[in-house]
Amino acid sequence: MRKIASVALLNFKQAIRDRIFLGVIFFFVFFLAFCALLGKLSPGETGKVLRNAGLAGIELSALILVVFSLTFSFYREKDSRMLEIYLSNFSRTAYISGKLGGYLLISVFYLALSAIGYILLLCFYGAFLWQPIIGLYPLFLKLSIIVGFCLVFSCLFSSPVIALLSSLSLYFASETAYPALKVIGLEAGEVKVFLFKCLYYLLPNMNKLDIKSLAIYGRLPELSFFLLISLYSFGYILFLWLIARFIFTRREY
Amino acid sequence: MQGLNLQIRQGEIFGLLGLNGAGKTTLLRCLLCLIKPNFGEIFFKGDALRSDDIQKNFGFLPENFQPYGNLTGKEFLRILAWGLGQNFAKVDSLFEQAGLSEQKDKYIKAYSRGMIQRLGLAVALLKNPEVIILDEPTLGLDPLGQSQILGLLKDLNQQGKTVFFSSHILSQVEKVCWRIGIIHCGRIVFVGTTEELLKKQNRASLEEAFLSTIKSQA
Repeated sequence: MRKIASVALLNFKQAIRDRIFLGVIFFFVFFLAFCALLGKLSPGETGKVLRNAGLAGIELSALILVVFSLTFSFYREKDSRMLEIYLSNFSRTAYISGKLGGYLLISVFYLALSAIGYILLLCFYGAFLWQPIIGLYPLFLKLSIIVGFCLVFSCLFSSPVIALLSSLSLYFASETAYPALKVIGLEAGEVKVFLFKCLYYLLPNMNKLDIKSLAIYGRLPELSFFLLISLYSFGYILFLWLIARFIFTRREY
Repeated sequence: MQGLNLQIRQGEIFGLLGLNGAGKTTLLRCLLCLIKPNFGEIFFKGDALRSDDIQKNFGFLPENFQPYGNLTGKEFLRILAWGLGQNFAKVDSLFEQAGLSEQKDKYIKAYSRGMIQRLGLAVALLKNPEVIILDEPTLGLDPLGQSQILGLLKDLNQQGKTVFFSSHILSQVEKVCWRIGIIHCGRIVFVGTTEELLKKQNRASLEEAFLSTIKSQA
């Protein structure tokens, strides 16, 4: 456990002082300013627009952070021979688990940091509601699944660009799978719908992890919903960790 | 690599010599279980080498090692030491041994090449390993940096450590190694002392003897 925590802590400290992290913080600050402008342009709906755009900004910036930071750090460790240092001291399972743990920690840290900015903005414009803050929890679960996918693709591909594009494509595919299934269900034949349903169940169900549309109106699902999505997400992450571990323990570096 | 048979004795400094692309790094990677040989076996103290042995008994410094730049030397070594179950007093003594006591609070990105190599050596020594493997440890260092690293290797050997390092800088190998091995096109073509090599090739300098050994294999 100590070995895993050690890898996680090294990754966390390196990543939060990295240019990617600082760049994303900058991006988020600009996004908040943009939200404020959007709020002013929507008289009567200012609070709702601020809450909605702010949450969307947190999601987008956090996604950019974890995908870029994890993918590049994985390949940088190979180039800088850090990976060999890790593997001569720790087992491959400890390394992969530490990497996953480190980036989950980074997600929590970034969400906490961006939540402060978000709360300040909402308070400044008198639009604060506590429910959107709870809405950050499903966002963390989404990010955790994406971290898992980044890890799998980084272990699988020898090019960081392919790993990066695969992770982003998968995120957008899983975000749009539910509406796409609805549309296909209206027009396509049974076989096509069945095949698409298989794909839909294989992809992470990001649609179910999105409670933005409720939270911005000050409403939240029941507690059982949160338990269910937690169980689903941690199960999915465990599944991805197993795949990443399977690939990583068989690769030569 | 093929037909490779090499035995390293406990407590010696063994230098692996070879031209670029001869297979030095590949051999070291096999020794560290980073790549698996298609056939053949590696033994450690009479038993087949396992990755557990590497994690417990081997310290490694890779070629062109570049640790996390956004951490200070102290943070980097302390977190690794904590993960390996070592205490922080050990970290301080390693900084002293590596001559980095005054630089330990600086960010690693501000370290010179020589300082990074010495930090890498401190990492390799964290577990107090029996065997230390170094891949081109003096590559890119100025003469002072080279002599500091070689001095450290001698000190470690006096503490009873087995040191195995690869290099293509013959003068350094001549200075510190008890025995040398020459690898060429993935084959070990000589193993013995430098005196034995000079005698075998009937040459006055190690450089001539080395080149003659290589040419005789071509």
